[in-house]
Amino acid sequence: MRRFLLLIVLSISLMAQAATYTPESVPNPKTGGQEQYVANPDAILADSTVRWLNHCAAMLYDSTHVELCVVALSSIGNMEAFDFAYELFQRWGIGRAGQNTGVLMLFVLDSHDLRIMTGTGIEGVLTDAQCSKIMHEDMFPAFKKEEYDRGLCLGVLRIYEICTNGDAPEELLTVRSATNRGRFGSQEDDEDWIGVGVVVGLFLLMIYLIWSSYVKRCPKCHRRRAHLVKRHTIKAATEYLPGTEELTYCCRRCGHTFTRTETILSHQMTGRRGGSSAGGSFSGGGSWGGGSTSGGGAGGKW
Amino acid sequence: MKNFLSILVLGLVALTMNSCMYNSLVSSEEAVEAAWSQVENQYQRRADLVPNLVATVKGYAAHEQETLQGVVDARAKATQITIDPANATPEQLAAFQAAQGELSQALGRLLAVAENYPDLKANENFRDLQAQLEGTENRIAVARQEFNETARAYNQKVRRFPSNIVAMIFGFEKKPYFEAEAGAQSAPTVAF
Repeated sequence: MRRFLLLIVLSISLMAQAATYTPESVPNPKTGGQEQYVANPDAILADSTVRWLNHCAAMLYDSTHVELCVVALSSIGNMEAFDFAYELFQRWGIGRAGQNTGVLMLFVLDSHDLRIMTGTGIEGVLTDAQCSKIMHEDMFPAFKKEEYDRGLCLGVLRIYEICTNGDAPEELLTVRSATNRGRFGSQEDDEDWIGVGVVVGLFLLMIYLIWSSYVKRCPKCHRRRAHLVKRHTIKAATEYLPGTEELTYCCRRCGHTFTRTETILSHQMTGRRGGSSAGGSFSGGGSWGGGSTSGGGAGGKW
Repeated sequence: MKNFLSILVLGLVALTMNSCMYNSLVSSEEAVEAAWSQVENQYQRRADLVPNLVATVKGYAAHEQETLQGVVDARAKATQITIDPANATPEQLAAFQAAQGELSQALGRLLAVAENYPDLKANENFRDLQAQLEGTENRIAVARQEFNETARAYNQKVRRFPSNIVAMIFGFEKKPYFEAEAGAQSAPTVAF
């Protein structure tokens, strides 16, 4: 029973973290595919916003080879936004190698920090002064009203216009007229609620499964009151062969004790690897271009 | 015993006197020099912003002659000191850093004075220059950090055994570092 409770507490605490990120722990959007440009691990931005941003970044890359990355985090702890952005930029290698046309937009919610960092190849077009202007004129007014989705989209749109040196296509311009509640892409805000429901359902299912592995139905009184009291390994599991164990249950209601023999999964099945773990998450993912930055761009707090 | 000793010496010679070690020292030194030129670039970029900045401020705050002149003088002094990275000594680098530090302080004073002139603060050109100045300070910081890293890697090679033997023979010297300054190198902040 205690073990069961401990598992519950652990899983709840794991889910309820408001994580503080380091440059190493920010999830790289490219692992989800080459057309992913936005890191939104705390779900600060709506799904429709992320879709719009990805669309805009993809169009930007196709026309100018400028690799745009948007990262929206709730907290980076005490780290300076500039240092964080610099390390993240260099770590992921945003921008085409050799050309260095990468742009990173870092948004930190708790410290109200915004930093735009440019690669050396794009800083002639997207100058420090330009970045500062975009931030203060287009983005901060929206941020001050807590319209983070809109603010980021407006900023990215300006960057698109500056880099392509022209007007943005109609489908992107809708964000200028939309409010924060408006649709930037498709009408799928309900999707968020369904997602929440699914997660809660899965969580409840998980709890039920864990509980049922400890509490079994008593063969005598047919009530589900038999708790696990002893676990005895008859044959230990090895790398490839399963083992056997004897589980002793005692029914709380009628006092009846019975045993069950279960198989233990081999180590290979439970993912226990001897030394090196494969752990590769590169199947189907993409990568950034391998560019670097010299720390240019602009930053500020709203 | 004599045989063993001569074998040992031969082994040591073979270990050290190979082109691999020499080449890695050379490429390390080249990396340091490239990093140094980056540092110089960014400092020059800052120096190039100064005339424009002074002209803009003069248009609104003509009475602040002293501060303006201070910036112009500090810039002249800073651009005069140049360092050849191949022969740099710690004293030379410290002098260079000090001169650039004085320019930083003069710029800081100028920006502080500009706070008193709301017309100047609202000027588009001035805001652009402030953003560029802040951006340049950040780039300087990054360039210095990268220089220090390449210099450290190079110095490690020069001092470690057995590559220190090769270094000694071919005259590779240690490179100096940029020292951290006590607060004076913080970027002039822009508060809107």
